[in-house]
Amino acid sequence: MPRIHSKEFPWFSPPDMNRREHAVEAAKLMMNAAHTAPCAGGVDHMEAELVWGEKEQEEIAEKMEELSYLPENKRVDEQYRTEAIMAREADCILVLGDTHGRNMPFDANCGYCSGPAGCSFVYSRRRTAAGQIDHSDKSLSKTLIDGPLCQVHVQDLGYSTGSALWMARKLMVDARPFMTVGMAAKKLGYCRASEFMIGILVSATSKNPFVDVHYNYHVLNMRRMVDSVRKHYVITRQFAPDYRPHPSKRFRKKEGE
Amino acid sequence: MGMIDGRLYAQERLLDVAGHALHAYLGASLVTSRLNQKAVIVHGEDIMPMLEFVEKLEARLGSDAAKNTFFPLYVDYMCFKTAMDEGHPPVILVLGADLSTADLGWDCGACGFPTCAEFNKFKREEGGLGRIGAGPSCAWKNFDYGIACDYACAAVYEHKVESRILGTFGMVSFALGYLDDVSAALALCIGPPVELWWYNRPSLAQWREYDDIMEHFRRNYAFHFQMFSSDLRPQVKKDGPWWEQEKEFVSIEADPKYSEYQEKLMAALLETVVEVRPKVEEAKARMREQKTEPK
Repeated sequence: MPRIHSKEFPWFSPPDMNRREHAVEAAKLMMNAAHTAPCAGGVDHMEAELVWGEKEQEEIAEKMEELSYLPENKRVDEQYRTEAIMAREADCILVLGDTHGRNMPFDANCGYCSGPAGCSFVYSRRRTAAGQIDHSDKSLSKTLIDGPLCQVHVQDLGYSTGSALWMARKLMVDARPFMTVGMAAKKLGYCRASEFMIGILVSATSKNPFVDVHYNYHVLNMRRMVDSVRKHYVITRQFAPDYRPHPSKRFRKKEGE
Repeated sequence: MGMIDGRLYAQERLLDVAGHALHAYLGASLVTSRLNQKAVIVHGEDIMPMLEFVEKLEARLGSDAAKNTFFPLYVDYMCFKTAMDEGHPPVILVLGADLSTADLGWDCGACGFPTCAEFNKFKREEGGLGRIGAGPSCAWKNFDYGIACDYACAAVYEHKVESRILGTFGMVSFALGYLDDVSAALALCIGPPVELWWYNRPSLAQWREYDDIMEHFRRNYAFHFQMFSSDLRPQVKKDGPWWEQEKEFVSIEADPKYSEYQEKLMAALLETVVEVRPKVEEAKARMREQKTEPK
């Protein structure tokens, strides 16, 4: 009979990889839950991508750190850097994107975007042809997200995210949605058909890595601590005598005499 | 030892489910953590002003007008009315939040403004009302509102209780002021304990005719699937031997008469709000007296 051994540490060891794979299985079910969430008119409006692996997550985390230094993100720079650590610590990242908000308004006259009839707040700010938004026109975008977006679809992505998070709770895995992760994933080309995206970090570890976060987390975190301990230990061990001519028993006795 | 009628008991316990849904709604995992969700449970007699709203509109302008105001509203109204008439009214959870204040400072642009400050300026000077809510909305708060509402829906679903979240009666509760200081409201109907009450909508069969339903399809979707393709002005097909009947076409043109009619409807809608709203204020005052509000 095959045996599956699961263990958190050492990171990326075979037992840890088993544990991570199980978290990925949970994230796949979260993905399905996102697709079946309630949405306006039952209209398909979203896509999802699941990202996992040391290199892939590192790429997203580095992009988040890079974004934290952009002038337009000055107010949220700490958030980007702190959450980049969480992206590294997660077992996997579920990216959800809203495929309709930019290019295909729901056309309900709901008023959430601003109020004028005919959804004109959105349409008047886009290049259109035959009443349709020209998806290829990105010329007006000067911000991280190319708005205005149809708020019905934005809210629908909230429902999808809610269902994904609900499924995570049912499966007893920790999960939390992050704007910053979504922005980095967008820059890296995940969920290419989407303008508005969210990144949900998923983890199945003893300590939920997405809560109880202290200041300066981007430099004071478990990985840095472990690295620091390894460094200091390696240096400190060099200041002891050879154990063969100086076994500890004799060495201690000498000290006691 | 004792016996309790199962249907009555299930009906009574809808309030318990509403309580669980509220816990999920208020404790949902959010991105901004600045949503300030608001909610109120409406049940029994206090649902009546919502129905009265549609009924007064109908009395004022006729049945067709009430249907034309916002057809999905009338469909949901009939679901409510039938449930009330049959003695198993749902409990309504009105879920709302103010999405129209941009206080995150993320300047992400999803709302269409380059900065949150410009969003707030626009809101002060030009913000407006739509069919369902008010805008503009901060995309991230709206997104969080979606998460919170989904949690409420999921909590009810976990209890295997019939439910549906409605924009239509959200709009009615918003207009009638069931919640204060919100820009968006949705109505989560919990119950009745009847299979697929809000989906297959058994109530529809009581008042919609076959021809009426097919006509609706033809008017709304003709250009998508009920036409001869490649003609500049396609002939529209219909149910039955359309080839034996006079040909029909869809035309798109201005209709000043209908536009005027719609404006009249809107005026009647606002008058009805003014008429019914005091009843909701009375209900809210009663709620405050009973100290059922959280302290």
